[in-house]
Amino acid sequence: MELWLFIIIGAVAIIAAAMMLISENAIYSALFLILNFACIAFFFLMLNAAFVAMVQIAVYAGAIMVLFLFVIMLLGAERVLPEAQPRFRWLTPAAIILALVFLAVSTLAIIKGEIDLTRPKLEEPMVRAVHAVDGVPAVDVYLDGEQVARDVAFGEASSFESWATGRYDAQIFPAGADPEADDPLAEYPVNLVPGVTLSLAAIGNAQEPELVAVTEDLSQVDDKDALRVVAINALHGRTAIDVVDDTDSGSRRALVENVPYGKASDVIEIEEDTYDIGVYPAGSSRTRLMGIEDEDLEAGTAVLWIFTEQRQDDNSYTSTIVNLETDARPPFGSPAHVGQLLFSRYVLPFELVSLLLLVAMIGAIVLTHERLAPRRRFERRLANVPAGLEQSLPGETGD
Amino acid sequence: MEASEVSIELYVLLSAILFIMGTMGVLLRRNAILIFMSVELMLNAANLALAAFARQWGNGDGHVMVFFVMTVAAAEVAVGLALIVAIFRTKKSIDIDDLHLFRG
Amino acid sequence: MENFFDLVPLVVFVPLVGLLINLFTGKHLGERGVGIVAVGASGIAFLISLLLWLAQVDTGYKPVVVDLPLFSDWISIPAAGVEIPWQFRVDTLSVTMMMAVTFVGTVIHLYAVGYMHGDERFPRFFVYMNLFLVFMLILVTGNNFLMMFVGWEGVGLCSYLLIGFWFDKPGGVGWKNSDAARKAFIVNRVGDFGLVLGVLITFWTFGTLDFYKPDELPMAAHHAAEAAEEPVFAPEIPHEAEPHIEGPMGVFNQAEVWLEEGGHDVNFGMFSLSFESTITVITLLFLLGATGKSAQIPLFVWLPDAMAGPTPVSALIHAATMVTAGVYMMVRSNVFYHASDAASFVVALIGATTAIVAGFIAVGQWDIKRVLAYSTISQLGFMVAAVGVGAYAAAMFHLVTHAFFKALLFLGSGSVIHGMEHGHHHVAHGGHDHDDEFDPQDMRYMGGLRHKMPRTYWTYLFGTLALAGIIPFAGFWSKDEILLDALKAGVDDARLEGYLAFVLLVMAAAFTAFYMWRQMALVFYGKPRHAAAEHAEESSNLMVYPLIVLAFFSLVIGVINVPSGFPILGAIFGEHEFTSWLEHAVTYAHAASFNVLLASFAVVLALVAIYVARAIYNDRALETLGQQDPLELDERTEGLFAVAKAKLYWDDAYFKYLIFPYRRAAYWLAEQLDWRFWHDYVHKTVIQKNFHIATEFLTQPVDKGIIDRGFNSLGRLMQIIAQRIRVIQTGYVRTYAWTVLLGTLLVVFIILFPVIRGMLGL
Repeated sequence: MELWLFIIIGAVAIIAAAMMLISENAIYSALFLILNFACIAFFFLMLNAAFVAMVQIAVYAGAIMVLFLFVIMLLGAERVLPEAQPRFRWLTPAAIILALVFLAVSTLAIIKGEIDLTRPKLEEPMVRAVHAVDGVPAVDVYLDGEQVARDVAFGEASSFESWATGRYDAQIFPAGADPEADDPLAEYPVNLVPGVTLSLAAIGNAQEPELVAVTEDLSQVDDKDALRVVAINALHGRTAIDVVDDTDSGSRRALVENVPYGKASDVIEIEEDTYDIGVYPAGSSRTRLMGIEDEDLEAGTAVLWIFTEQRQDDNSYTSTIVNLETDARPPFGSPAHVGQLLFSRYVLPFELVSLLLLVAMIGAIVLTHERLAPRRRFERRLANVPAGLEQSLPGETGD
Repeated sequence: MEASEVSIELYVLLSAILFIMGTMGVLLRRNAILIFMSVELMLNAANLALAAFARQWGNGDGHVMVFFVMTVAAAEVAVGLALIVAIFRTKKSIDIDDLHLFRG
Repeated sequence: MENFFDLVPLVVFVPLVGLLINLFTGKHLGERGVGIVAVGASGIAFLISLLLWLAQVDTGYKPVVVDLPLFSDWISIPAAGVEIPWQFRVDTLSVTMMMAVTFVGTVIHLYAVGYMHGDERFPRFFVYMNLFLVFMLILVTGNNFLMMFVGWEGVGLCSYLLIGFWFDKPGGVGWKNSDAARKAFIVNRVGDFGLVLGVLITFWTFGTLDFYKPDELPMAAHHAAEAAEEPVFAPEIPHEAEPHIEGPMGVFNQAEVWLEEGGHDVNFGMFSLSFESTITVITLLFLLGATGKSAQIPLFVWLPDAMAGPTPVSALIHAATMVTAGVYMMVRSNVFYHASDAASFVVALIGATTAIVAGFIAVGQWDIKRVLAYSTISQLGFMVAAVGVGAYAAAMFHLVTHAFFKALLFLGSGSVIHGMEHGHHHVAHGGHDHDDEFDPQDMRYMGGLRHKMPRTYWTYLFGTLALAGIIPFAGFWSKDEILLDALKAGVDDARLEGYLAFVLLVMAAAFTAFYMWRQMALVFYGKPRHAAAEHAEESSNLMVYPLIVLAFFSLVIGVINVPSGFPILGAIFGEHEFTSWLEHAVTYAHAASFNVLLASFAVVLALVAIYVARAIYNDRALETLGQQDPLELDERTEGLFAVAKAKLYWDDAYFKYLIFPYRRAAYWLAEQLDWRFWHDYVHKTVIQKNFHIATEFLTQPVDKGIIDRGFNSLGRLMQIIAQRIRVIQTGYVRTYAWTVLLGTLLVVFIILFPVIRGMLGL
């Protein structure tokens, strides 16, 4: 089906392009070109490039081609008068030959070129730091001495950073420490492979801090109404826990079961809803250790819960839940995806292109402004006219 | 991304065909506006290839590049059409073969 | 007080600053300002010398070497082991020289402010004078022969500049002045050549030029033992008797060590000399240097002509200080001279001969300053002779006393000249006959100035008596010591030069008294023989006060070295104070005890000479004095006077046997070698002609034929190629586009080349 669609639309595009080329009237050419652009926009859609397809229609087929048509009509230049003596007769066959050669070569390159078409490339690994160490106001996190996040306050997470693939020692320091000189609070070896999204969660207390690496899944959930949840057991009591859906006390449902201390649960998908969440020792439903009431969980997010305790001044402990919600990654090619790229990695090129547009605008004004571009008589100036050539040169031209 | 029925080779081939048609337009037509349109066609062919490769490699950079190409094309059209208008004012013609002041 | 030693660079720098101030702002300062700066600089230098003297006394006369910051490795070539630092030496000898130079210098600067009043180049004069002080102080404070040489040449330069100071006087006088300056400079070159050769041999022999290394003491141990035989002036040497001999030694101690060891040969490459012979060569070369700078036979001829300079210059440079540099240098090198008997002999003989010859010539001179010039030469002869007989302390003593009374005499003569000029000026404007032949320095026009210039007369009388060696004036003590030492050298050490020097010096002393009294009589006694003398006036206070100061010192300065055994004075002022003081720096300084007989003989001889002079130049003779001297009228002395008047035909001999032949040779060389051979033949015939041929060849076939044609063809080729190629540049966009496509395809082809090759199975 898709292939047939491709063939039909492709044929339309080629025919439109050919018609554009052979139309004597420039208006027709422009209209055929619009048709061609529409086809290409369709191809963009087929290629998951929704945003680009949108822009193609709106900006290209719309704005730019309107500009073309406007200029054609303005100048009344629909047709160029045929020449009495065509000047470059040789050009037509030569161009066609070159075109055929080019086509042949391209085909050759596509068929025989050793282009790696098999393996889709995964995105770079992403990493962030989460601070849940009791008794340490803020931490810095380093991967092999390179800073991932600095000054992360308790219960907060840094933003995700792209990181080069490889094996690292993740180290956690009190905020402001010198990684060269000071000893880290805790260390943990991590392996960053392409496509992985890692949260380095620092848990425990100031005396015995620990690092837990949680692999999260930020991709879109297939089910539009679902979201992903991960839980980490950081309870001082060091018992394994169950996390239970307490929304309806009648039908309790364990979301994750038997999570030992310092470990993360599997990633589970749950429906979007308002939940009451309870935490119980593993296998028991009597003692509710802690819980979250009336939590609105939205679809298209990834949630990380860290169940921990904080020591108070009177040496008692209070339960604390670190609740981190991250938006899932936007779908490929969507406006959100392209926008994210434009405003993160491509900010500077984007600015440059904007500047280019500004310059083009000013240039267009300058070029077409009558007063700024006064008519000049064209005079031929040759520094050194070889003898016998003066007559063959065209004299003054112009209006 | 689900696997597609249409393989990337076809897209690239289509892109190449459109590109060469644009080239022919540039080479063979004398109307300056048409030449411009042909250039647009070539740019679009390149865009198509970019989008195809972007899907192939699951990399959004291709889309950004398409976006930039479009922006540059817009700038180019603005300046190019301004040039054509300016030339038309002086020469009353947009036949590209009437312009050969740079002859050596 | 040891910190005071660090002040020694200032002795040089203060006059330097003074001269720089006067050099750059002199025109705006006015005479008063310039005078204050110049005299102030000199005075501060004197005060610093005084502090250094106090420091020397305080630290037990320990020699000190002071490094000049930033200059410590003045000449340093580590690879060749050449290490000549810029170091100042403060010991009793250099302090003596410093004090003499700066004190006399200050007084003369003061006098010069009055003397040069109204001169159009007033600031320049004081720039030169301060510059002279700078170089003279470098000369006496340097711790190595090279620094001494720098000062030596520097004072020579200043001497040249100041002798020719009035180079633009009208009527040919300017020419004479600049001739005199050139003469001084050229004659000194001969001497300096000897000195620099001596310095080079010294360096070759010892590998260093330092007199003594820092912290090294003169090797006076065995000398102290020697001196113990005469306990009267055995110096009390507070510092350790054995010098430090660690590492390299200065030249003098090294010389002592080698002399004691013996058998040390000096290799000169092609030949080698025994160390003793090398020392003799060095000392003789140094002597040549001294004969130039200190105006000894045979190079003394420049000094009388040098009187062309302003009188303060004559007093400072050509009487008191610069001309004694040779004596200072020889006293500094006393270790060398002590070691070489042959050199000592030559030195003594030259000194004594110079003393008698110059004394004799002085009798026949009419120019007041010329008489003093020959007198200076004669006195320098005394000093050199003293060095020759080994009386280094006596030489220095005479140097110091002479600086005072000879400066006094010159300044006095300047005062007289000033008075005469004043009188002449008065006469010329009073409507009297203007005598063009008038020379204010000619004693024949003077006479009777005693009443016109009483203060000048009295001070001049003091100077004359000091020079004549009348007790108790300064000259008596020093001259007596030299005579005594000469006689002792003859009697005690059985040295021939001692006897010779004694005889000649005694005769010279008699001549001294005679020509000085002749001068007194001609200038001050009798009646004025010229209208100018009649209207002469006493000079300004600024000029007279320095005379009084110097007269005072000419009277009393002798007590610094009262000989042992001298009644009363010895008890008051101490015996041989100066000699003991010098002994800490001059290894072989020694003194002789007082000899009543000899002293009486010398004084009586001087008195007799004065009496004879008084008799010859009596009032009647002075009244009838025309253009001829009474001696000339007397047929018995007519011939001798003529010889003296003609300066013993010394200059004439130089002209006849040296300068004229040299000039002829120069002319001949100029004509034959330079003009005929070099210019006409080599330049014109050989070089010019061949050059023409070569250029002709290069222009015609090479340049026009090959290079021109080559480049023209290249140009034409370019033109043809360009005409062919320019067709491509059609100016049509479409053809360009086609070319671009072609190029793109080529690039794609190249990229895909491996694929294509694989397909075709290659």
